[in-house]
Amino acid sequence: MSETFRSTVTNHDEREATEWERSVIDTVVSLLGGDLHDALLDPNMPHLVIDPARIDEVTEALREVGFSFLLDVTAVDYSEHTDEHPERFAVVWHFLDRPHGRRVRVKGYVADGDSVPSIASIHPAANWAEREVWDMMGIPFSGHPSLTRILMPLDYEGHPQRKDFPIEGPERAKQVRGELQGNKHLTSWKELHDL
Amino acid sequence: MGLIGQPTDNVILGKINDLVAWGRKYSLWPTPFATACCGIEYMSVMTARTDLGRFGAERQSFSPRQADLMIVIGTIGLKARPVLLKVWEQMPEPKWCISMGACASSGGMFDVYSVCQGVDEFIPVDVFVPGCPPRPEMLIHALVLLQEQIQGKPGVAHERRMFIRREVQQSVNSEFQARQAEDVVRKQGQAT
Ligand code: SF4
Repeated sequence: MSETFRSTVTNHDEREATEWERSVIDTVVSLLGGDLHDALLDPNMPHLVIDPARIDEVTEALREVGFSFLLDVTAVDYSEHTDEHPERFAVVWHFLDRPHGRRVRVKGYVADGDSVPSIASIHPAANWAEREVWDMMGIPFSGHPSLTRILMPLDYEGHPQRKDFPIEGPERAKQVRGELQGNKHLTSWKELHDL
Repeated sequence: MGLIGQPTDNVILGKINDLVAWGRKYSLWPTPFATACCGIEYMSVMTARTDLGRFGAERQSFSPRQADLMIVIGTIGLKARPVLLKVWEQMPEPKWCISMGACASSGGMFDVYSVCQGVDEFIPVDVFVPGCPPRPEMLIHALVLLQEQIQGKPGVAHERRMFIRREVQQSVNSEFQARQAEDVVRKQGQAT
């Protein structure tokens, strides 16, 4: 691997890795070998593209070198940019090294329906974040203590942050397209109990 | 039967319903169901500058069981729907509802998967207040309109209730007529 790295930010030049960035990348390279698909350098943090099946090992290794704080677990739906990305979804983890104020971004591509190992046993903060990713994107996390919806009602159908989910909700989308005539009004407020 | 003596200028004759309605309309106890930014505007309605107490709705009731006017203020998410319904059903009759703001009335700008598109989906709303947020004067106007409705002037919810009553009446009528027709057929069968 060369000493300079590309950036994910467009119009941003390649740059040399600083000492700590170099050591983080080396740690992950020695752990994963070929499962580290790509290493990039954004203006303020390294950006590692890995095989998501090994995120639990990467989390442990990063914790050993100081990244002991989980900032966020989130996901991106790239279904409108399939030419630039190998799979439909990407799960993104951010880790923070608090004493030094350093961050690392780890990203793994998953296909629709594939599950990703949960890191809730390592970082309890991942529990709700992973439930949110499941609720909004429909990416299941294997080994999660209770993978249920967290934002939408428990009986909601579909995963609303997917690009193919109608933004008005399925019911209103039919109205907008003219497939459903009139407004769906409940004739009595007792009917709401059955919803 | 007759009145003892003559009615003087100090006596008003009227229906008891009117008297009760007159009492009710000047002593509404509102319970605010405030979930979003319109709630801030509602607070200013209750302050000294535009005092809602001048219209009799002085006593804020934060318990729905001691209230007769619910003011739905703000965006109602899908998860808040059952909560709102529970609060509404705890209020004793007679009760009225004002939907304040674009969000409560129609979903407003939140035409999205997670927001209820108007509380009149499941609660009979008497007065809708447009605006994002409505000015305090508009809520006062809504309260005055509601007072007129309580005194007997038909309003939105009244028409809706009448519509439902007509529908029910029609279905009952048609069922009754069908039964009568069956009876006629049966009696003819017995006679022959
Ligand atoms: S109508 Fe406007 S001000 Fe009122 S709750 Fe909705 S967004 Fe907020």
